[in-house]
Amino acid sequence: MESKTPNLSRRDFLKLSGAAMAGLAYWSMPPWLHAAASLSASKSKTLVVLFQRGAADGLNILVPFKDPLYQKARPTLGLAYAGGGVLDLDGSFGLHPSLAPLLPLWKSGQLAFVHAAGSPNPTRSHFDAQDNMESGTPFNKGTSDGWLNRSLTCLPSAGTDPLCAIAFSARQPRILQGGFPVASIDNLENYGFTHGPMDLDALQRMYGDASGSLLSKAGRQTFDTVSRVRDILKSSPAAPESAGYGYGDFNHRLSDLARILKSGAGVKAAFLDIGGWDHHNEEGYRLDYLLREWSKGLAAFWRDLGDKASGVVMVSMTEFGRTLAENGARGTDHGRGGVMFLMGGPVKGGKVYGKWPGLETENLEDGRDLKVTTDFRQVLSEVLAGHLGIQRQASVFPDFNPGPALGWI
Amino acid sequence: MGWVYPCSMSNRPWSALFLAFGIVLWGAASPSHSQTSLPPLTEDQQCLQALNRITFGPQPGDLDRVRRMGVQAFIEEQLAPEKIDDSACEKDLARFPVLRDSILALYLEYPHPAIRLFRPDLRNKVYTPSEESMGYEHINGIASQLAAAKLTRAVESKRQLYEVMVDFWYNHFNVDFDKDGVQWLVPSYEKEAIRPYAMGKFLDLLTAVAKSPAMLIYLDNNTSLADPKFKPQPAPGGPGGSGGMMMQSPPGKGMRLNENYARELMELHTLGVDGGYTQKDVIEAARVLTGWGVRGLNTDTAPVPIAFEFKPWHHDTNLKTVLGHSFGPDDGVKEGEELLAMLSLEPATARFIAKKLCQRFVADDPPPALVRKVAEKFLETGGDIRETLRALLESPEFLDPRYYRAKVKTPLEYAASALRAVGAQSTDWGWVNQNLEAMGEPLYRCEPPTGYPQVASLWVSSSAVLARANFATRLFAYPDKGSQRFNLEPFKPKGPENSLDRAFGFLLEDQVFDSTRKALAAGDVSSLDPQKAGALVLASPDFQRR
Repeated sequence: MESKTPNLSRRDFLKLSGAAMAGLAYWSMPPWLHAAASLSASKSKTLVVLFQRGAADGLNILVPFKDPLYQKARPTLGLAYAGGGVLDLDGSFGLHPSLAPLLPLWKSGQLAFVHAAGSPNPTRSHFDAQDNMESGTPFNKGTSDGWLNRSLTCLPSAGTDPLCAIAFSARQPRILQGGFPVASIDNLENYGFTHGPMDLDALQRMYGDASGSLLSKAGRQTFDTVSRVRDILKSSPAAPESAGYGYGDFNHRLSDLARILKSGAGVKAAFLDIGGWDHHNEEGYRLDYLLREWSKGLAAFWRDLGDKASGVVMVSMTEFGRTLAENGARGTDHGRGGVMFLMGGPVKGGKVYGKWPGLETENLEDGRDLKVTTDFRQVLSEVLAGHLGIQRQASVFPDFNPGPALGWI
Repeated sequence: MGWVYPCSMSNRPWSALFLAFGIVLWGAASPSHSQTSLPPLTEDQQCLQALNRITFGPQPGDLDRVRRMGVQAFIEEQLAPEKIDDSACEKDLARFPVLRDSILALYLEYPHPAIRLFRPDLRNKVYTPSEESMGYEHINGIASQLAAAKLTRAVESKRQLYEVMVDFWYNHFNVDFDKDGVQWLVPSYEKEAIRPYAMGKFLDLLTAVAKSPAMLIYLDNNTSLADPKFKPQPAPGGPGGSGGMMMQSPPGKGMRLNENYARELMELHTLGVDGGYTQKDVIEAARVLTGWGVRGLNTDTAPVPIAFEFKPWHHDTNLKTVLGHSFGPDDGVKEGEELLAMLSLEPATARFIAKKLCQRFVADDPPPALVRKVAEKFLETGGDIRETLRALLESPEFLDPRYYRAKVKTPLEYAASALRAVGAQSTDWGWVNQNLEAMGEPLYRCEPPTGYPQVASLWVSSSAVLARANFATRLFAYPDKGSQRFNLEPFKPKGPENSLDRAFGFLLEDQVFDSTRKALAAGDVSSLDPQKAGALVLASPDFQRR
């Protein structure tokens, strides 16, 4: 049914998905999901989804530093030597040293990980694997919308804020395509009509027709978002330099998101992506640099949010992990299992979730890559139920039956 | 569907358009291909459709010209760019020296603050952080010139289809300017690997790309080495030796395969992701291509021309098998050339390229029968791009009313078509690229190898509408000074026509959605000044389509 949603208004879609899916979904849901969903009735809950595009190297992010096979496979890239600087988390796994700014979150129980997570579809194509993870249907290419958009249509109450769903992007990311209206924001401070010769009333009327075309929908959303953003810019100050967000678009967008959340906007879902993780060569310094900015931005975000952090959960995804062995250019090639970051007040943190498959050749996928032991949809279905209160998920992940809960939220 | 087409272009049966447009909009929302037979496009609509699809948008006077010469003759003219005099545009490009400079000259002019290639005078210099960031800033000058030159060509060149194809192929074989080490290589990449073959043979294009220093570094084949257990010889050092710029592997140590280029070669450049290859094929293809590298990068004293070099000492000399074809064991550079030749004529490649072309020229979800027909032509002509294009552009589907204005413009297409429509004269289009960044398409800066998307669902967003409206506002804010110049006369009220009427006529040949007219009529737009009227039409949903 996904392929038809763009034709429908949001209300139609809600009706349809409710009617079509209700029977199917409810009985197929395991008991823990019911329990989790009923616990999360209250308002002002936000899910932030991050996407590390390019396939982040989970093995050098959350390092199995005690495993001699790890260091052996990575003679120059491995961090498990004295002076490698790995930050021991639990005696088995350690953080890349550039993630040090996130340690306080780990210690206060607001940061957890799922290791060896990923998609059941074994493609090693960036494009395909990202597409699978954003559509939420790894074995159905025909799905026209994204899982995060579908989730929003299932919310018990979405509210009326035009910033209910935000894509921090100039384009419309796959994960948020669909029938639910999405505000896409490239840069909060510049999000407004420029001064000059334009009849804004007439412009708004032109995009106000009810044809339901992509363009008119986007246009209507533009006007709603512009006026909402204008209020936020007035009422909620920008983070000062001292907030320590660091540089780059991703970090800037994190600070924009914090500013919006602090203003009290009814944001249910936000999506940010960050590229540059495809390290086929010289991974050492490139990953170091990227993780430094990543952790700096994330640490600043949680500090900046203050008590608003209690209602926010952040989940990161990446299309796949990377080869266990390094290649000839001190980089790694496309692999399978990766790492998901789980952050926020409601997270049962200080723990690495998931089943560790081991690094022995016979335990690797195709004899070379960390196996995927946790389906990314398992992690997501727990946050949708436990945080956003979405009980019926059959329309969100149509061909997925959740397994036993990881219990991370 | 309440679409009426109160056009005043000429006396035509408007019911045809009414129907055509209803279906187009419906089609945009649902991927089904209605088989309902529709009245064909009028002659003027055919001219406009051809102009909108094979150029970056009509300029003032273009419709008249195509009307006079006929659509087919226009297509033929554009299929033979070498016969079109483009000296005015070429003269205008003279202000962009990066288009002429050799790679070496670019290294000297834009020294990398951390690498200092070929600059003995800088070899011992210690850069302060601010000097270093200024150095990078300076290197960005290459990208700015490239972007301004691309816009100049899109707006001014008479060889419009050719420039559309150069953009198409650059995007197909995307190289990101920001990847470490390729900045100085991008101008020659476009000039030497893409432009000469954009309407030539696909295999020539594929080979030129495969051997270009930019692609060899962007997708890391330069650092893909035969496994030492098969190839124990150490790499020779010195100028022309192995490795990349900052990434020279010590001989014999850590020498391993890098799959990046081999994978994208099959997934993005030839077969497509569903092209039937396996992970094993990726590894085998990477082994075939070991030794394909770049020379001249790893010295800071004696400049050697930077160019493709096959390095036998890195080549895997065992038998390799890709898609059932064997290569080697030890045929050197020929193995890779044979691999490219094999891939270039696989039916999956033909289908993949045909579909992308149909998406560019017909519809986001093109009719499968057309894709088949175009793919057949591709195979039949041994991958002749011009002939493949001819089959596409002369197909009935190209002018089928079901696909009339079915495409939403990409940011580049939008900005270029706006500049063409108003008849802007450029002194420098640099400012436009800043606007393209806000629309999501900074030129030459697409990070993933997929290139920018060419379907509407990924472009159309609330910030895209905002950025496009702001571009239209800025363009009309200063029509007579600064870096853009165009005449406001065609937007001034004349006779019974107010400024908005004139803007619709001048910019859209009055091809305006009924919904737009109705929405505008709900307020008073009769006294808009020429600038506001022009900006409003450029920002309209109607002008977003082609």
